[in-house]
Parts: sequence; structure tokens; C-alpha cells
Amino acid sequence: MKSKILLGAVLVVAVLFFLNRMLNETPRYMESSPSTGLPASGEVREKFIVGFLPVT
Amino acid sequence: MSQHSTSGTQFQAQKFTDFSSMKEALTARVIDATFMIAPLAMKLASDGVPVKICYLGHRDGSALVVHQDSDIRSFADLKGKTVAIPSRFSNQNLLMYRMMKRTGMQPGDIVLKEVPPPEHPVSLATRSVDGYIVGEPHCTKAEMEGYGRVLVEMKDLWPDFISCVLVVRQEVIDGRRPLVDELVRGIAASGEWLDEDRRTGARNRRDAAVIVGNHFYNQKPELLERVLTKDLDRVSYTNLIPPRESFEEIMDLSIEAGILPRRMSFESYCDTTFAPDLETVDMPFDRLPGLPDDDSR
Repeated sequence: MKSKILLGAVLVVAVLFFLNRMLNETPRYMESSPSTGLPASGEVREKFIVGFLPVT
Repeated sequence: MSQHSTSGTQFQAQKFTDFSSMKEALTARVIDATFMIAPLAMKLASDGVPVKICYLGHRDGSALVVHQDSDIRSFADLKGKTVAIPSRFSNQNLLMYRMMKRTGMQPGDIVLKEVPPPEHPVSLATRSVDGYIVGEPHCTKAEMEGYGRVLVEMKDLWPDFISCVLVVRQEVIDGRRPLVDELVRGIAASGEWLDEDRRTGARNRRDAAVIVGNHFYNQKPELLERVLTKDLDRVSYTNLIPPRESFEEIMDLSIEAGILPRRMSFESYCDTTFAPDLETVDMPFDRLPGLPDDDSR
């Protein structure tokens, strides 16, 4: 029983680890948001990525 | 910013849930720049990571929150309690260190627990901590949801409190200088715009709450509106040029608290050459696009 609980806990930790990693590696900006709109010319010459945490 | 970029640059915002992943993305050159807690940026520079602080994100905007029904009424009452901090390398941690010293406490008299900022409110709600010290909107969230009470705001303990700063990779500063200049000018213009009408209706702050809540923070606009308008001085977005004397103070405290190993020159981790004169910056529009009419809100 103990080994099953241990195995379950290890699996949960592994899933959370990879989920956290995946979420942080995926840019989660919204295409419609003003800061990711296209430049006025319609042509994107450069891209510049700025990270943030939702906190002041 | 992208729609008004003179260089045809698309500025993209990438959201993180914790500072360690953000730090890794910056050092791995996945992102060009980031808003990060000031002592963590200084620690990166101290570790030899080529980055510079180019601007501040805001002033004030942090608070110490305890449970609504807690008997904690002053800082001294926190002795023997557990308080969540966003990171060892944060000014919130340094403020706790300084306040503990001022009130005659020894290290360890308050147990400081590192918790990612978005998890602070739930940690208090489930009573896994007795209080937390972090930036908004996580303080107002606990107040609005009825289980938290602000014990003290940082602006009352450390005026003009600095939390997050804009950190840019040196390679980007050297190779894409006009873009960094455009970014910093955009941040300065946004800050000026957020603060310019805060005493006269604060329509800009209410507009920003809708856009940021829906498109960036994934939080209720009502929460952000309360943060930005209930107490107009709770957070401010002007006066954002990195001040040498404030960073010297942070450096002294960091060395004393043992989170930085040695003193560094201001120029080795700060580049203030991008900071514009606020008289020369302006938002290129009156209202943010995609908002309902004022009267309907």
C-alpha cells in the first residue's frame, strides 16, 4: 500500500513538473491583444519578447 | 506598442508563473527582456549573467496581508508566525529583514517561506501561512474575497518602494538598441498615461484594468480596477528611472542579509541611458482600442 502511495506521489510530482515547464515555455499572449497586434505597416520586421509575472 | 512601432516591431508579452522559470528563459535567451524583482536581477548580474536593469516597472504596489480574523495588529505581532515572500531575492524579503531588525527580532523569529506570487492568497486562505508580503493584485484579491486584511502597505514602511524592474539582456542592448529604446519609451508613456488622470476620474486606469485583466493577467477586471482606483496612491507608474541611491540601499541590505556576496558598481547592473524625459513621451491615442463606452461600465 505504502509503495502505491509513494508511486502515486512521484507521478503527481512528475506531471506537475512537466506541466509547469510546458506552461512556462509556451508564450501565452493573446493574438488579439493590443501589444501583439501588427505594426501599422502590416509587416513585422522584428519580434521582441518581454516576460512578465501577473504581479506589480 | 506593436501597432505604433516605428521600427515595425511586434512586441510580445510572455506570462510566467514563477521567477525561477523566468530567470531560466532570460538566461537561455528565450526572451529578450523581462520584468523581474530587483534583487534577483542584481543577483543575476553578480553571477556573471550579462543583463542590465534599464527601467522600473512601477513604484509601491505591495502590502503585508494577514488573515481577516487574525489577532495580528502590528509588525511585532508577527513574531513566531509564518509569512510568505515571493522570493529570497526580493525587496519584500529585504523589507522583512529590515523590519525584523528594527523591531529587535532575531533571524528566524518570523519564518519566511518562498511562495510564487499567484499562490499567496490561497496559502493564506488555507492557513498554510499566517500572512504574506507580495505585490498587487494578490493583496486586494484576499481583501475582496473576504479572508485577508492589509496589515501595512509597503509605501508606509519603505516610501517609493521598488519591486519589479525591466531587465534586458546585454546582447540585446548592444545589438538591438533602437528596439530597447522604443520599449522603454513605450513603458514610460504607458506609465505617464496611467497616472495623468488618476486624480480626475482615473478613466485610463479603469480602461487598463479591462485590457490587462482580460488579455494579460487573466484576472477579473473588477479586481484590477479596485487595485488601481480604490487608493490612488497604492501603486504608481511614474518616477521610474532607476535611482542610484535606492539601488545602493538595496545593495547594502542584500549584502547584510546574505543574498548578495559582494558589492557591485551601479553601472555594472544598471543602464539608465534609455530612460526618457517624460516631457518627450506620449501615448499615441486617447483610449485603448476594444473597450466599451464609458457610460456602459
